[in-house]
Amino acid sequence: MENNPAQLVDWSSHFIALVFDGLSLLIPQSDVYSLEPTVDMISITSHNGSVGQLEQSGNVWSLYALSSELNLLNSCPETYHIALLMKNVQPAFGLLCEQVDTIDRNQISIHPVPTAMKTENSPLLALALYGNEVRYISSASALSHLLTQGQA
Amino acid sequence: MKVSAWIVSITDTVFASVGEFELIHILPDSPSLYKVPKAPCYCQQVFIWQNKIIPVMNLALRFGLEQESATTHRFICIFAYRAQKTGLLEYGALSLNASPTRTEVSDEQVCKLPTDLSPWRHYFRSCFQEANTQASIPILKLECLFAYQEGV
Repeated sequence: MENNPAQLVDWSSHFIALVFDGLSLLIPQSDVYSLEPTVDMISITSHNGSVGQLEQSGNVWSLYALSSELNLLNSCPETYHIALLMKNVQPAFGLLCEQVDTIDRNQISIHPVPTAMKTENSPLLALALYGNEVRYISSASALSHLLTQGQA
Repeated sequence: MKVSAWIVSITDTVFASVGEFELIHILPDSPSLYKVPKAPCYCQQVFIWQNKIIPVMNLALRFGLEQESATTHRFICIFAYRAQKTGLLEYGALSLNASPTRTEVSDEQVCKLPTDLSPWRHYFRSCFQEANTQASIPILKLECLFAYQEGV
């Protein structure tokens, strides 16, 4: 594992850790437009799997809720109070979560997803060691692919 | 000439083996396991060992075999192998329902693969008949087992 391809990626210097359903998912901070409370969310039931929408600066973000298995939920759990609005993707979307935190790049060591664990529909780009725990790294683009392919 | 090998139990009745130096550690305690979302059912968990993230594979699930044993205590054994593409040393773990046992093997013991495992012959180097039990024991090709990517 010395030749670690995950180390060759130009990762952001900071990550946003989204916590939902017991999972902590790290997204490069450079992929995040803003964090918003869900009080202004308009709840909808949509054919594309989104559970709501949020308007911000004249743009509308479709909001999605995921389980710890990264499957789409068809309604927003009561504990998901924060929306992470993504940038660098079209159409714009946001992920709902329970908690967020900021993690510096130098607080984690990044490892590739073991080859035997890779699947075509996985949005995971790498794994991270954070203290004595494992975290999962994705990106706006990888999650967008998961959502638009309807494979969540 | 006889060489040493380790026999590992896939189920109560199906076994496999690895070379003497491929088994590098048997964990005395159950480590903290982390479930990786979207990973294949036979390899869903990882743990931390010496600052590395090690995938854990269940061979019975990998080979579509019924797990007869009701035992809940499982041994996690760490194996080392050279990656086919890079030649670098990599690590993977197997979840086993019994601790591995040592045996001595010679070329005269070569035999056919057990029927249950014949569809998976590319994951085995060869097969031998164990002297004491007369069981057919295939020899695992760890570098293939841990390198297969489902659907990719």
